[in-house]
Amino acid sequence: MTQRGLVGLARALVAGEISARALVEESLNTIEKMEPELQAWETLDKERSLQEAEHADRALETGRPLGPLHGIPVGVKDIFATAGLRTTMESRIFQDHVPARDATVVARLRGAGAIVLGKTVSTQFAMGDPPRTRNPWNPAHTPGGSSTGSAVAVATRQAPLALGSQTGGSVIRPAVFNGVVGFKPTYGVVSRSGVFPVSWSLDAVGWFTKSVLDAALVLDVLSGHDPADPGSADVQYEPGFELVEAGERELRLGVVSGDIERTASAEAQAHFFTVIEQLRVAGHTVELFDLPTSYFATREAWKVIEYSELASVHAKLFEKSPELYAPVARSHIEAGSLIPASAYVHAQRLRRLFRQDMDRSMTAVDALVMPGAPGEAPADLSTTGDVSFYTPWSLAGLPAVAVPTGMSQNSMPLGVQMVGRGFGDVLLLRAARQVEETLQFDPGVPPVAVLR
Amino acid sequence: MAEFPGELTRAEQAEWVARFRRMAADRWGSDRAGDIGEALDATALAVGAVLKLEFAKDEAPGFYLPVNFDPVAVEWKVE
Repeated sequence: MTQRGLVGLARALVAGEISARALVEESLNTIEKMEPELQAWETLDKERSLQEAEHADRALETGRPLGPLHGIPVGVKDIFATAGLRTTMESRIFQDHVPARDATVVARLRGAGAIVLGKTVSTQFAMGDPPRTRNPWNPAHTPGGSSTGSAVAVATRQAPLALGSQTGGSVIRPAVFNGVVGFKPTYGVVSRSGVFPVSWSLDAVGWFTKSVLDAALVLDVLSGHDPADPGSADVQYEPGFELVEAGERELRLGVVSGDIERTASAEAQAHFFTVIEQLRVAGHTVELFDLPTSYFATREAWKVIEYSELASVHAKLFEKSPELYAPVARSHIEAGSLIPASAYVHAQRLRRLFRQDMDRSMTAVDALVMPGAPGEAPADLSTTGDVSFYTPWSLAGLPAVAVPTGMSQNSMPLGVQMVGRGFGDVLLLRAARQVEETLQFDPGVPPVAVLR
Repeated sequence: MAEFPGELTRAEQAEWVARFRRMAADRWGSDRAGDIGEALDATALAVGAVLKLEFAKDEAPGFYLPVNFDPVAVEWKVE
């Protein structure tokens, strides 16, 4: 059942072709079989998820489906508050923490009929320390991070949807490394209330699905102003799912070259040019995109903002228990606490300038397209991978989506990253769906899932 | 910022790294400053590069992205 993807499952559930109870049971059974090897879940909520599935089935029997995600099992990154369900931030400091309320996005998922299976593994405090989760395509390669368990859960069909978050590249990178679609909306489009912060002015909620269309359905459910999040944009949101599904249009794509292209491995570059050629042959316009001058210090500005705000977020907790922090998180907090205020202000000014420059220059294209990562997931479990392909766009708060496009010689997933205009989330997903439709690539199920 | 002012020179890089290592030793102790290592040096270079930026006076008048972001109001409560 879980091979169908989110939209297919949602339609089958509402049509009564499958029951929510059977779907949740299948997810839980799949997790149980794979978990010893993959370790993608921090906490499972079996009893409640089965009860909710029965409730969904009863509601449908009375002709009242619960919403657009009726009966859909989901995973939630373990930095999102979940009422009555342990939320640890992967830290001993919060190992027994059970929130009283759901994060806004979790409440919106439940309100749309989704069923929370449990909490997926994050890196500690969504920072850069490697997680225990393994890459299902090859356990010797990093699965990426920080939304690691969520990406792996969707790749192995344990759940058709899982929530993650991105400060630098924590959705797009694990999506590429695990061969799934990852979507990070424009900063301000989806509420972060109840999500433990890394960096207040950079953090965004994102999610993993099997297809771009699946991601579009979730955007309609989760977008919208939330007064509980001071970074939530108070703008009018129009549903985009039907537009994304209708698809078919010629694209104008801007290819980001320069440092991103040069940093990619020879294999990643060759694959990317093959993808671009396929898009061109299919009739889409593909042209080089000139990045504005302000682009060239974006990674430094991102680091200054991220580390400064991280040090502020953790100031009190860290003072009490520095020994409870993992090495990378600890060193970033310590380094961040030394950054002068003038550098933070400069970084925020550059950030706004870069966003303004991008807003102006992106009017000529539907989306930017670039390699999804410098190469396949590194065969190195001491890292979650390079973040430099993602930080400029996270800094500008622009929407981004990862689309799987092929496999490496080592049979590891490869993909492209597409970046859209600010608040052009639906346009970006329409473009990504066109790319998906043109390439017709499906990475299939990872070997670890086939064996089960 | 009509033109990007360019990367830090080697001398500027060395100066920023040394400055941050001194600050880290003062704040966290010299042993710990050594442990922070790579993150510390990368932060020093990022700070140096960002502070080298020169803005025209009317550029980027506000700090944040064009949403109603209010950093003072941001709080994560342990419910």
